Amino acid sequence: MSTIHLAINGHRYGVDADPQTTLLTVLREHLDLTGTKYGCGEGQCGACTVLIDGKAQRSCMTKVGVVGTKQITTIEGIAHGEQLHPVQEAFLEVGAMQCAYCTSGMIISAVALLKKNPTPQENEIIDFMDGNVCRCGTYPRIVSAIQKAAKAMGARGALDGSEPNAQLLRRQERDASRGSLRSFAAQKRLAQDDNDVLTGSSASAAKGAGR
Amino acid sequence: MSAKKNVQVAWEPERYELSAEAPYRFDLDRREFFKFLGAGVLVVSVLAPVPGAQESGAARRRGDSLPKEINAWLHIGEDGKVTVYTGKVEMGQNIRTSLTQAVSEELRVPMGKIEMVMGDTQLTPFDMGTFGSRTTPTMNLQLRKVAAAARETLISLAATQLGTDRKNLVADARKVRDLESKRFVDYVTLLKGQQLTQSVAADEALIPAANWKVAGQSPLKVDGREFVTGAHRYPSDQKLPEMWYGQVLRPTAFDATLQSVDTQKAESMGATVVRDGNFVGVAAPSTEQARAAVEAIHAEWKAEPQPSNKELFDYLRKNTEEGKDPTGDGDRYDLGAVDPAIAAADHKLQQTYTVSYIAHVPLEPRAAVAKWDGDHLTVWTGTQRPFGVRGQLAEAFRIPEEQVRVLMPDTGSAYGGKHTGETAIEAARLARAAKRPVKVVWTREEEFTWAYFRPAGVMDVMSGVRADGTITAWEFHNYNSGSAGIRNYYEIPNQRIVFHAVKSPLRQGSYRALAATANHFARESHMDELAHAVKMDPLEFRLKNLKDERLRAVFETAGKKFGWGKRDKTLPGWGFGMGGGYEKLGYIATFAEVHVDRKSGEVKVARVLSAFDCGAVVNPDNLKNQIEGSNVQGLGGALFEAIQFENGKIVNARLSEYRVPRFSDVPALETVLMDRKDTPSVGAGECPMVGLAPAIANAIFDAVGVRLRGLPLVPDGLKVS
Repeated sequence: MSTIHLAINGHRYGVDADPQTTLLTVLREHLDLTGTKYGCGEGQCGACTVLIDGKAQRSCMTKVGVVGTKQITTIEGIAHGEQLHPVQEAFLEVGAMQCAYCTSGMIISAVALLKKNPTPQENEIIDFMDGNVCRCGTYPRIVSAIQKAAKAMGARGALDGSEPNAQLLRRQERDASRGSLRSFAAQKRLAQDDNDVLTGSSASAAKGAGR
Repeated sequence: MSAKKNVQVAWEPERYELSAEAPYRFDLDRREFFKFLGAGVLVVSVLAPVPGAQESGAARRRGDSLPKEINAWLHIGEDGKVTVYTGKVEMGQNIRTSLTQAVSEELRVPMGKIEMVMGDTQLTPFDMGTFGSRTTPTMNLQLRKVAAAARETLISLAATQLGTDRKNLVADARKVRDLESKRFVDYVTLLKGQQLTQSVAADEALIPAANWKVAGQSPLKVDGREFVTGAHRYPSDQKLPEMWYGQVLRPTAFDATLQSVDTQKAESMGATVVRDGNFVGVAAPSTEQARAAVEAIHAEWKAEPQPSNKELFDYLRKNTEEGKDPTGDGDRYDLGAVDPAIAAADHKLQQTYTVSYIAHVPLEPRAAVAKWDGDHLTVWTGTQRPFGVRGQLAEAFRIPEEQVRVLMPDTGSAYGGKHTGETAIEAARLARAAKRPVKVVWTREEEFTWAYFRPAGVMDVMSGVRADGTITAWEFHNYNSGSAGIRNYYEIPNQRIVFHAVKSPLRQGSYRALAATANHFARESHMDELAHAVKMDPLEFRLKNLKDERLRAVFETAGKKFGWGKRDKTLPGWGFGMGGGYEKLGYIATFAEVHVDRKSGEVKVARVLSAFDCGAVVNPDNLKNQIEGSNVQGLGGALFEAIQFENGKIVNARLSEYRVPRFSDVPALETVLMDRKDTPSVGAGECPMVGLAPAIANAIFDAVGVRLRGLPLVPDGLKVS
C-alpha cells in the first residue's frame, strides 16, 4: 500500500492503494467518482471507459500503478460547469439511452473518437464503438448522436470537444484560485505535506492546482 | 436463529414466480398523510380489477383480479408542488418520463413541476412489481385518473372561490379559468390552507387521446441530464458512511452443500467472516480486501452430477412434471377433434423447434447496499419487485415487513432478470455481522451464474392443412419454456395445445417476452413451412387463416412498407421472411431481410421492419426506442446467445465467451407505429420482440433453403453445402 498520485478531471488526488488495484476501483471506491461503471471486468463492454491522455481506455483493465502523471478524464469531467459537452448534449437530444448504464462509457468513447476523427463516417463510428455494449440496444441512436455531436462540434470549430482535458485543467486552476473547488471524501486521504496535491476543503492549499 | 433456513429462503427456486400478494391492506390515515406531506390536495387511486394478465403469477388464477389496494397517490402541496407516488420502478423503459406525461396532461401542470417518487416501500403504495408490460395499461391509466380527479377538485375549489358554475371553468397551465368572465385563479391560491382528500371515481373524465397535448408527444427523458453527466446514482453506486464491501464464497456447483470450511486466514486479514449454513461471505473495508479474504477461505463442497446443455432437449422431454404449471396460463387447451382432422388433411407436417437457455446480462449486475438500525433494515437495490424483496428480507431475517424498507434507485436494466433479492439478502446478512452498512455488487461471472435464466424449451408441432391453404388441425406441445403466447391467433377449428412443466436443470425465471418468444418462434416458423407445403406466399397464407382485424392490419401494413410484394427473389444469398403475433395486449408484425455468405457462413441480418399496434401511443419516440431495443436485444437470442452448462457449472459465464449484440450486428431498423387513438394504451417492452426470431429463420430458409428450427439459429455461422 502506498500513496499514488493521480490527475483526474483537473484535480490532483493522492490515494492510498495497492498499485495493482484497477483504476476503476480507485475511481469508484476511493474517489467516489461513480459515473464510470463496472460491466464485465475484462474490457469487453466499455462501461468503464475513461480518457487517459485523451485516449479511451478500459479502467477495469488498467492498474492504477501504471497511470503515473497521465491526465485522466471521466464522465464527471467533460462538461464545462453547467455547459454540457456537445456529445452529452447530442445523447440527450437524440434520446440515445434507455437504462443509460452504458452511457458514460459510450460518451467517453465518442469523445475520444471525435478527437481522433472529427468527421467520422457511419462505418467508422461502428468500428470504433464496437467494443462498447448497450444491452438495451440503443446502438442506432448512439450512432445518430455521435453524428449530431460531430456536426455541432464542427460548427463550433471543434473548440470544446478537441481538448477537453487541457481546457478543464485551465478552468479548474482558475476555480481553484477562487477557492471554489468541491470537496471530495477521498481528499481526506491526501498527503498533507505535498503542495502539489489539492486539498479542496482548504482554499489556501489550492494554490498548487494543476501543477 | 436457523441459519440454514435463511439461506434456503434466498435460493428457493420458486421465488421468481411472482406470487407476491399485498402483505396487508394499506390503512389510509388522512392525518398521517398530511403530517408527512404537508397541506394541499391528496388524491388516491384504489386499484380496480383490470383486464389482461401478468406473464405469470397468482393474480391470473384468481380471475384477473388484483388486490383491491391503493396503488398510487398524488399530492399537490400548498406551494403547488406535485408529487406522485407509485411502486413502479424505472430500469430503462422510461416510465418516469411517460408517467410524468400522463399526470401533466390531465392535471394541466408542466412536466418539470412534477416529481415522481417510485419504488420505495416506505413511501409508495404496494405494487406487485414492474414486469409483464403492465405499467402503461395499468399505472399510466391510474395516474391519468388520479390527476384528472385532482384537476376536477381544483375546478370545484375555483367555482366556490370565483362564485361561478364549474361548467364555465377550465384548467390549464396551473390555473383555473372562467371562460366567460376571463377571470382566473391559480392552483397555489386555491390550495392555501386546504387539507382535502379525494379518491378516484370509476368514471373519471379523462382527456381523449385525440386531444392530448403532452401525452402522445416525445419529451426528453425527464432526468436525462443526470445520466449523461454520470451524476445519477445507480444501486451499485450507492455509498454510505462507514460502509464496507461484501463478497460471497460461491459453491463449486449448483446445489452443492458445504462440507467443511476454514475461515481462519480470512479472519486474520481483518475481514468480517460469516458462516451461516451454506452461506459463507466476508465484509471488508474495500472490494480488494474482501476479494483477498474470500480467496483465503478454504472450503470443501459436495455436489451431485448434473446434466449438460448437450443433452438438454432430450432431458426436458424426459423430466416433465405433469400437472404443474408455473406460468399460469393453464396446462391444456382443446378445440374440436384434432386426430381425425390431421388424418383427413391434404398435407400433414410434424416438426420440433427448440430454444436454449439465455441470460439477461443486465449491464449493471445485481447490487445492494444494506444498513441496519437496531432491528430495522434499509436496503437500496436494483429490483423489479421492491415489495417482493421486502418480503424476502423479512422472511430471511424473521422480522416484520414493517421493519424493512427497500428502495430502488433507477437501475441499469433488468429485462425480467431482477425479480429476486439475492444481493439484498447477502448484503443484509453481512451488514448485520459487520455492524455497519455493506455493499454487495455481483461480478459479471456471478451475474451469469447465480441469477436465473430464460427457460429453454422444446416445441412439438403437428398440423394439417387443406390444399387450398386452410389450416384444419393444430397440435402444439411446449416443454418447459412456458405457456405465455401458446394459444393460436390463427383460426383453426381443431386444436390441442399442451404445456408441459419440467424439472428444469437450471434455475429459470422471467425474461423479456419470456415464453412468447419460444411459442411464436415455433408457430411462425411452422406457418412458413406450411405455406411452402401448399405453395402459397407466406403473407397470403397467414392472412387466409387470420381473422383478427388488428393483427391482419399489422401484417398488411408491415408487408406494404417492407415492400414484400416487390422483393427481389433472384439475388443469390439474400432472403426475406416474416413473423408476428399477439402478446401482452399488443400486435406485432416483423419482416426481415438477411444475407447468407455461402463461403464464410456468415449470416447478416440487413434490415428489420416492425409494425406495432399498442393502442394510443403515449410517447412515440420512446416507443420507437423500445421497439428498436427489442429487435436489437432479440437479435442475440435469435442468432447466437446460448448458455452452456455442464455438471452444475456455467461454462461461458463471461462477456468474452457469451456473445451479445454489438454495434456491428445491428440491421437497418424501421418501425411503423399504428397509433390507434381509439383504443387503450398498452405496454411495449416485450411484444415487439416475438416476431423477430421466426422472421430471421424464415428469411434464412428463403435465402439458402436451409430450415433452422433451434434458437440460437447460427451461433457458429451457417454451413451451406
